Amino acid sequence: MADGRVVIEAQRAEIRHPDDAGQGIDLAMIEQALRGELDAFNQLVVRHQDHLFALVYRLVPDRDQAADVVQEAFFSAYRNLGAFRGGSVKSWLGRIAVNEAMDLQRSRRRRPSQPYPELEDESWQPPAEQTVEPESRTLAAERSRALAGALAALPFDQRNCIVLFDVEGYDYGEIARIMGVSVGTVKSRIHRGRVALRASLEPVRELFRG
Amino acid sequence: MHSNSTTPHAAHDELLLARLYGGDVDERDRARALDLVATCEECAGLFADLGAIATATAAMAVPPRPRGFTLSEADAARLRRRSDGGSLHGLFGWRRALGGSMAAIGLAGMVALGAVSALGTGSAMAPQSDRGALTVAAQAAPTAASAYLPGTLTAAPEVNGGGTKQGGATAATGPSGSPLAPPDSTTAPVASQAAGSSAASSATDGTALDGSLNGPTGPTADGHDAGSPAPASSDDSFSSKSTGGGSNSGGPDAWTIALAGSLGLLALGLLLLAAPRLAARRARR
Repeated sequence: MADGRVVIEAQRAEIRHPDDAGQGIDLAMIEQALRGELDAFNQLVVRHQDHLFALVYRLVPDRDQAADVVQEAFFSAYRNLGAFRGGSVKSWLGRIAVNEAMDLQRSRRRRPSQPYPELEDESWQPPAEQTVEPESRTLAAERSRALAGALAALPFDQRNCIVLFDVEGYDYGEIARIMGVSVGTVKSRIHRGRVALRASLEPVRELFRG
Repeated sequence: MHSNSTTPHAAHDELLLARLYGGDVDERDRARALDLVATCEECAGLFADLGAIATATAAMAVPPRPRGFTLSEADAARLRRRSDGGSLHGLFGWRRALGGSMAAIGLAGMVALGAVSALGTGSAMAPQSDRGALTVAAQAAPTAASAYLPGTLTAAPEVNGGGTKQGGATAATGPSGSPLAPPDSTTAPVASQAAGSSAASSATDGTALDGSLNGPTGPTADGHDAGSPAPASSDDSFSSKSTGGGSNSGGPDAWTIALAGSLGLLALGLLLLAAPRLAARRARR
């Protein structure tokens, strides 16, 4: 715990730009949470729950299961607050959530279930900004539905790598560390996954053009 | 640089284009990939699609989260308890490995002993024509039988050549209560028919020898009539075997010890395996 605080102080000292204000807030909350203030940790949860849910939902094609994964990730983060060694809190939480999602995926491989059940429900529409034209909204919804189905059809190793690379912006090395595989494996999974994704979306590729 | 417009798209390397999109190409591959994009319409379409799909993936709509994920006081208390218990995980891991090893060794020991037991029983069922075995068995038998017939066995025993069943008692448990002994002395016509290794076991029941012993028989020390079926008392037979069993008197002892050891290892191993689960269940409560 004491080491963690030292690192946190060092991290805070490094924050010199206004863009890092969010990170500074996160670190302050972790510091307070380490002192036993649950409210501080819950503020951290509120700040990151939407991002984590969006990340996990792309990895785990079931909204309820994705919610369970995010909840477990926050439980795990709370349990391991003392193990936080500085750096980006957002990335730390993301890594925990990805690991939880991978655990779930491994168990699901033995017990597969219906992917993205809400996408089968035509009444469900993804949220969109009110200012967007109805046609664009419909197109975006169609695109998301097709893409979600194609992502769900990918092997989860490829899906995870693609989401982490394209959505989270991790580089190959970071993904390799998170997934516990070599950089070459990550690259291969991403490239093969992209080609497979494109082949899967071939019938509806007009949705993605222009 | 050759043109790809003349070769069919199916012959083009799509992974190379994916690698180009991912920035995972050296100079040579980069030139090849760019050549494909420049000269093959389908390759160009594929490359454009890869970019569009990656963009759409990042912008993919996500349904609203079904609930909030803030922790309650109860959650926090439970997680703190589990966190405190985390330091014991290493110990539990060590215990688990040890417990698994012990259980495996115990189980293997029991299987091996079972196999030995089965082999022993098999030898007890040896053909009656095995005269050599008969002789050995006959020599071993009176010694054991004398435990049941103290002071009454005066003459040297002779083998009943007929080898038919005498006496109704069974020796299912053998001298030490172990299954090494023939399951039923009636099936291995008296100890005298059994193979040398198990003959003495059969002989523990004095009644099984009544047709092969010369000399009077009388009540045993504990009041049983030696001529009538006597209960197969493992204690008595064990002591008689231990004290006067002759050359193979150490066999049952070793077997029993091995069995007890295997059982003990198995039990202890299972206990060690179960300990972390019990502790975790207690922590969850």
